[in-house]
Amino acid sequence: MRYRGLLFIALSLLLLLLSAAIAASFGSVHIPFGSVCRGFFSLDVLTEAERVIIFDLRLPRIALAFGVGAALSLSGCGLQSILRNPLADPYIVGTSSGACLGAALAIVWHVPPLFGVCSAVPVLAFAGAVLAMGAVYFLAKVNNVLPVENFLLSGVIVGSFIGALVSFLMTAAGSDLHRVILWMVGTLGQSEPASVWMVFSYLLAGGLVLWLNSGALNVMGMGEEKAQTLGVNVERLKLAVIAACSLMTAAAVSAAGMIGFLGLVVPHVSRSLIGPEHRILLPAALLNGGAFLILADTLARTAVSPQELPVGAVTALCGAPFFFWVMHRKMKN
Amino acid sequence: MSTETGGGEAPKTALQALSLSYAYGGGPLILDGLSAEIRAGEFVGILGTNGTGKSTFLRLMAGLLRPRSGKAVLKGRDIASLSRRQIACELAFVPQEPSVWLPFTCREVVSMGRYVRSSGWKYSAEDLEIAERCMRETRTLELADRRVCELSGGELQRVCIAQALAQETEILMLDEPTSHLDISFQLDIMELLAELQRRRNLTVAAVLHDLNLAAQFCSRLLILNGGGVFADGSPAEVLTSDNLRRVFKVEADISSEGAGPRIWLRSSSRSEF
Repeated sequence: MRYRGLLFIALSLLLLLLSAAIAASFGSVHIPFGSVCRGFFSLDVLTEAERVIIFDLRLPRIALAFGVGAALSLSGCGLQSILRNPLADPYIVGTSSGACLGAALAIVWHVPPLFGVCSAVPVLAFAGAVLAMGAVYFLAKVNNVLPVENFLLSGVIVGSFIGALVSFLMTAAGSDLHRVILWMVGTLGQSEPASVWMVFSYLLAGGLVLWLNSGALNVMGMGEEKAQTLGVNVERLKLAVIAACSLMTAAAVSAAGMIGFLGLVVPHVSRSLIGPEHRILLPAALLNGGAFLILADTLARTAVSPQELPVGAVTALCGAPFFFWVMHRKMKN
Repeated sequence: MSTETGGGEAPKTALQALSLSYAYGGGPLILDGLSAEIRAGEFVGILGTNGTGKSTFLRLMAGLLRPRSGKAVLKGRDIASLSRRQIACELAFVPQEPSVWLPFTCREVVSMGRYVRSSGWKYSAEDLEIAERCMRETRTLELADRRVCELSGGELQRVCIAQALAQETEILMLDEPTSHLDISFQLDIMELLAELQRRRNLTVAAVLHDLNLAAQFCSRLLILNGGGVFADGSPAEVLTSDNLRRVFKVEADISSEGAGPRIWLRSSSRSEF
């Protein structure tokens, strides 16, 4: 069993490298796949121009796609486990709607770049996400206990309330409407180097929190009450996991907009392939989420080039049939 | 860590309820000043009609609920002052309908019993060995690599008992361990519990429904009624036709040959329906 898990992680890593190579190869200038692969070992095989294209243009975007995909997938995985709900996804916590409101405000009000450099959109989006998450958490809390049903319900309630505010803003947006919509469907094209670093730091911190709690997350599979009698401090675990997942989501959404579906599906597919043991599942979900978004983004920017498809639509368009196939195969067994 | 206590001296108090009261939400008091004591090494059956707070009593004693007033005492210490980790080292709990959401294997589920004794992240070879021994004792070793979602109710119940044993606690609590099992599995589980209780000198407290099974296997019975303990003693003392009429509203003939009293239910005297 253990070797199967490690083998699966190795395969996921291989898939990730392959996706990165494909993403580096395709684009308005085609660089042969073979030279990209050889470039992993020795940079000398690439021409000067190819190096500039790969390292200055494509690699930052690949890195962002990896970070965002990994953060969303990991966050979905953690939330599904802690809430014991297969329908939980990173956006259930209200982060997405909060981020949406923050971003829409920044766009419609034409908030100037902060400190003269950093665009205000991701900053306000992140602030909105954290505020919404806090609201959901405190609405759901009863006497220092966080009942899971309350949490899901208040997530939906806060989400719809903020969603209504966003709709008002959009009707008032006028000529900025296009930018708001573009942000909402998710894109990896317009972000800045700073947001790559932000996503990676939250991914690292949040991922560590989840991974170190793998054992407790496994025990949570037995139900909250049973997990308590097995020695898990369930309330503390919920707080840690929800905070870690929400912050990762907030970072991902503020950097790349709302990329849906991935955070729901990649954990499911990873789990049905490798099983529910979190020490293996969490790294697998991280790698697969990253690889999936790299591939989806490559498709989004090359399919109808020079136009770019919204990557959030591509994830759902390709992900849904694949998800269906995995579930169907599983149901037949 | 020790499971072999016992010894010659007078049995120690394992669990003590000191005038426990509890109500769900703003509802009426379901337990009202209940006091009881469970001594080390006993096999206590908790009986009562539906809604008399048997499961509530068990949950209060396991520290899963906080009483409105009164105290649940675990080996001399107020359970409210203990951490989940400390409680899990003393007391294992098997819920009524175990539900495992994720498709873990039985071996993984039983190993989770070692969570509190391990680093919390990785199970040592010793932990896995103990899990294996507990599976052997509960005759679930042949299920080890099956996924829990494929098991029958009786098999799952046995796996959950194995998990609780892997905690290596002195006290084992079970909430209606046999309620949704057919009769042969019910017997199987009760025999298993009685055997484990003897061999490991466990203290067992179980909410039970079947009066005859309770009489046959338990060393002591508690009947809860009206928010408190209605009767407390050996099966022969507790299971009298008078008690059964007053608590369960049934007429019963009791014969006391063999191991424990046998109960023959005759007819209901619930005429007011």
